Amino acid sequence: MCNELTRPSRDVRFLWPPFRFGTVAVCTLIAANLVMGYRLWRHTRTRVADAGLEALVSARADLQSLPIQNRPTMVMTVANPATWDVTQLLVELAATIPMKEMNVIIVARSQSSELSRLLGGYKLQAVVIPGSVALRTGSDLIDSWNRWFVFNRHGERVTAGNAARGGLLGAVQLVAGVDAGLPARLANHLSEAGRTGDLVSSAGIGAVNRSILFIRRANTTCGTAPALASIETAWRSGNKSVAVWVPHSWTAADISAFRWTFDLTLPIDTASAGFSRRWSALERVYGRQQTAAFFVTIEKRSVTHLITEQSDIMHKLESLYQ
Amino acid sequence: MKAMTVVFCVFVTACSAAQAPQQAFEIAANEQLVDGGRPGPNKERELKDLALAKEQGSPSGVITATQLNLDTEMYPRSLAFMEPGRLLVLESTTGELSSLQRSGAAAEVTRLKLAQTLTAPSAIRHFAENIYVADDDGLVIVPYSGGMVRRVPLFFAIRDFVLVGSRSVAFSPVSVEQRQPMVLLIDAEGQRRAFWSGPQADAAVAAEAAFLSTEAYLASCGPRLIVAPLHAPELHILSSDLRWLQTIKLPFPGAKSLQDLAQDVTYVHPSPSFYWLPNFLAGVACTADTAYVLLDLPLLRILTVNLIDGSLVTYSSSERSYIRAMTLSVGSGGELYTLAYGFDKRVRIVELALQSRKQNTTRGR
Repeated sequence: MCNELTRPSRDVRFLWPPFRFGTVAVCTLIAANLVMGYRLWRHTRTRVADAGLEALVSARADLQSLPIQNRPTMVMTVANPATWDVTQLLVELAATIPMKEMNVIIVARSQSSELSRLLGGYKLQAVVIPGSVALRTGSDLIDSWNRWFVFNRHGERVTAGNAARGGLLGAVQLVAGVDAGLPARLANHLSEAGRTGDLVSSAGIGAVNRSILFIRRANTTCGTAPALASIETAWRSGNKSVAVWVPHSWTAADISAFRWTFDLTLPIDTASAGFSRRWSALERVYGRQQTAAFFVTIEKRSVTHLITEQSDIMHKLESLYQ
Repeated sequence: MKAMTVVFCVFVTACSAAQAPQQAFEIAANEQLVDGGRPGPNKERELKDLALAKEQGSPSGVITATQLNLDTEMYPRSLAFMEPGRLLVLESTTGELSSLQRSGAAAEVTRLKLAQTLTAPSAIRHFAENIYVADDDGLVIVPYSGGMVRRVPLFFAIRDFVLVGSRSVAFSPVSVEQRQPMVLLIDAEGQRRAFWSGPQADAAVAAEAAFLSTEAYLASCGPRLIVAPLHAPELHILSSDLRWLQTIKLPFPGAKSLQDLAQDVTYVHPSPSFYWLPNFLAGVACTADTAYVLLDLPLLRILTVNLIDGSLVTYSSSERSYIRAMTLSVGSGGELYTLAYGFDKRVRIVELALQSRKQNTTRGR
């Protein structure tokens, strides 16, 4: 009786720490982990929400539902988001990433240690596309904004490189296995049904071999400026192998302002209406409305080079003027 | 059972810990964006905070800020006063234009349809039934009541622009790696009419980043053009044909230490692709004979400059509700609006009311 009164019951022993300290510790651990588990669950939910970022490639309206820190400054348009075509998406990326404004604020999430290492402490320009992430990074620790990477859907780095004047077309070419200045689909499109010949005939240069820099848009901060400076320098030193063309729609005042801004003395020709129209049609098909310039080489009535990326145009000019 | 619980707890802990660096990165990235996208420790902000903390004496007037409550979410980049109670807003994320109709502290947003696609739009103005928007491809002129959109190619990326008279536009280009004119004047056809190179190259700025010193905000006051450089505490007054008339030095907290920072090559040009200078001014607006200058500080501060006698009055907010402000627009009745970054990383449209505390003015040089 006495023993029964003084012996703590099982419940009492449970509540009194000296007898079950380990149990209390486990309970505390469970409570702490419930909190951390909740945070992890919330983070996972955020990741699921970020799948909504993929929607940005197809639906502009979806952007409005994203929080500001996940909202990009550009909107990509994909004809059929159900089919993953990295080439086409990156072509559009190359056309839409603004080179002046570094306020693209989609943050890529990846469990890949390599990607995490690359992101740590860096300013980041990133775009999430279905199954892949294309990044340009920059920080005060490295030399430029123009280091780019492409990661696959598993967070593994597919390819990387440097783009002298921004843009990701180099990545496109590597991914697509194309070493010309043109993504495979666009190259195929041009070669189909005599479109190249159509372009050549619209240029109206007959059988003459020409290299032409066709300027569609230009301002002093975009990649056309160094290309124009290079051609002008070559022109003044007697090398007249590259002609500068501007769209048919430009007025004399436009050309005058263009000359003034870039300090150009070389002749500037207005492209024929047909040439301008054919480019516009191609751009409408391939979503490169924002392409600034095209470098076209025509030899023996065929297009032998067609380059749209600014850094590649510069490389081509450098090789021509060597 | 206990062992399983412990293993589970350890697993959850490890998973949570793995998220921490990524979350920290996101926060850091957002901080950088709010702070103008500058990476690394922001010495400029530290110096400004320090100068404000040491500042003695009270300003001549106070600023009362009223945030507009919008009926929809907006991410404004630039704004323009249209008429009392009505504003035009340019959004940076989408390049969309909106009209805001005020009703007290609330405002109703109407999206305006624009046939022309904008490429990195930077500034918006309103004049005589037309909306003017600057983007990377030049100037887009949109009749407010609808009709044909006109584009004038400028071949410069534009920091700010202003209409001068009824047929001219003055603009300040975004600087690239070579010195450009501070202001260019074009006519309605886009022809260059005049340019102003800016003040002589300032030895107070490291030569490596001196080309940046030509960027400026602009305002038009009748026959005068007000030029407010981003990177100098001064105001230049030009005639409408861009002849220099006067330069007014502006009082700025910590100006000396910031100018020392501008001479530090390791700060202004830390790596081959990076250039910057400390920011002094964040916007300018003008009525008939008064210029309003928004200082780039971690609190709202406006200097009013009497263009007749050159006298200056300082207005400051008493509390730090916003990280910084940018862009200033003034209405015909002296209504002032700005865009202000809040501590929640959001940009707000804020109406500013200036109230004099005492009639104590200082004269500019």
